[in-house]
Amino acid sequence: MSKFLKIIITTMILIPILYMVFWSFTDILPWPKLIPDGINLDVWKQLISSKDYIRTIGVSIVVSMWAAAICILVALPTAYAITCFDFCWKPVIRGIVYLPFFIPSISLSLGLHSAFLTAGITDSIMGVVLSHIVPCLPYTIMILEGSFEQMGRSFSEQGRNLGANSIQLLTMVYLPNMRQALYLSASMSFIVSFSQYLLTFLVGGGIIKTLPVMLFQIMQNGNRTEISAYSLGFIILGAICTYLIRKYLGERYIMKYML
Amino acid sequence: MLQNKRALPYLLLLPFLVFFAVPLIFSLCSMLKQSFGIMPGIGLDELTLNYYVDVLDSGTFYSSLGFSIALSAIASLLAVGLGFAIAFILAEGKEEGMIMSILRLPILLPHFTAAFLIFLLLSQSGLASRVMKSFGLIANIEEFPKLIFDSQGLGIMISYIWKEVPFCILFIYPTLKLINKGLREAAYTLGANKFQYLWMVALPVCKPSIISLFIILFAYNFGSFEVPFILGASYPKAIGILAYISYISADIGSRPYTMALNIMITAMGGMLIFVYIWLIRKIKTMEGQL
Repeated sequence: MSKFLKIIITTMILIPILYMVFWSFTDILPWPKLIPDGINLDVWKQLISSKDYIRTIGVSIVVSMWAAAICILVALPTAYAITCFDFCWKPVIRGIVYLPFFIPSISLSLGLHSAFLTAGITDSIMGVVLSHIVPCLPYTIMILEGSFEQMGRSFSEQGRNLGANSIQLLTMVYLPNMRQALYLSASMSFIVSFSQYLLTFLVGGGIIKTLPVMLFQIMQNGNRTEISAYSLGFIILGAICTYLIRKYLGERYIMKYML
Repeated sequence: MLQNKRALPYLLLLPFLVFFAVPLIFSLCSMLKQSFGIMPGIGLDELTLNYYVDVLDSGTFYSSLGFSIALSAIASLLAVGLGFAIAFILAEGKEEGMIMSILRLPILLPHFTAAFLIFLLLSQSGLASRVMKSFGLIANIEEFPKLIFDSQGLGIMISYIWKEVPFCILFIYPTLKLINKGLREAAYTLGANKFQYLWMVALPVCKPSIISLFIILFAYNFGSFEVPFILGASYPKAIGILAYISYISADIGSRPYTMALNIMITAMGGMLIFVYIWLIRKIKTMEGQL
């Protein structure tokens, strides 16, 4: 039963993705043909040689790296405060943290855009990065909170008995034990920011062009071959970036430079 | 020292307030203000509820609201239900193999890519219709049912489900695997059969995660913009599309109307928080009674 189910799930997930790979190498395929006459590499060539595409990748990576970095730096003290300290207003803070999960994304995007307009920080990379913090941070805090909770109070008691203060406790006791959670939350916030379309489009005002913005434009005007190739490019880049985050942030950065 | 200690949590929360709470609350307030018709920039400064009345008076609002609620409720219910069922069967099996990595794939894809995949597969000229033609099940392209750009929102629903079922499985599976170690043996030793174990042990244990998942998915699907934009029909429009179209319209005078609409969408989400808290409390008290 379990084996049979695994085969079904695998086919359901892989067939659409593989079919998109297939389409990215296909030029024209009129209905009801199943297989094209030859392989077509035009779109891939166009994609690799396009300066606009390379620039867009750059912008995307810069935006999401900044967003992920700020998210981690903000989420770490927040999760630490929420799990390890008692203070009044805690339920309110918790409520605010998870608010973006409940506010429909359309309202969140339109609201943030109109607020950023008032503050005069639209149409800039900084504005886009700051706007991405809002949908990304709840995930980051959720993951880090879980990690703090898992370690529990016994960690802090042991540390305190050995004479650590609250900050030492965080940097010398908790952080080294949170590698997994740290890179998980970094890659999570990176991915959420990396695939943010509406917020980027509105706050960036069409001037800040990230990959989702470009992809969405192509989806409205392009043909299947183009959309498939650009979507795949997007997925591959996202996967590479999260892999690199895991490799460098997970193993080196946190261990060597942060402590 | 004590003074210092008391201040510490607030100090730790400072970045959170600056980068997150302030923009979020500021944006909610600015939406509220505009929805009440206060936009000094375009000469509106009289507090009024007229824009809410306008929204509630328009027929498109109700058709979109009904469409979005039905669509996201069905999609989320199916996603969570299927997710739980599959996670249960997988947890009963012995080895995991590659399946967990494969399940991660749809989560990596953004929703609009998932929507495009569903389009490639199920549009009238998509893979499914081509395969059916080659097997002689349909004679021409019109015979394939209209699943994309349809007024029932089937394409949108399938796209949500395709992306969200794996998410649910990955969310529920670890819990099931965990209780399988102890409770499962206990249940079977006490003479429970597979269905009794499913119904009386596995389901109650997973209930909180099932409810959280349903609420989170519902809130997401309800206010989503990308997927209905790519796969939706021109009528009825999902509520997110309605808000978007009204927002980007050139007429700045329609902004308060848009914001009133937006506040109502937000309020729907806000209501979900209370439903969520209520359900979780109810489960906790039920557990307490046991």
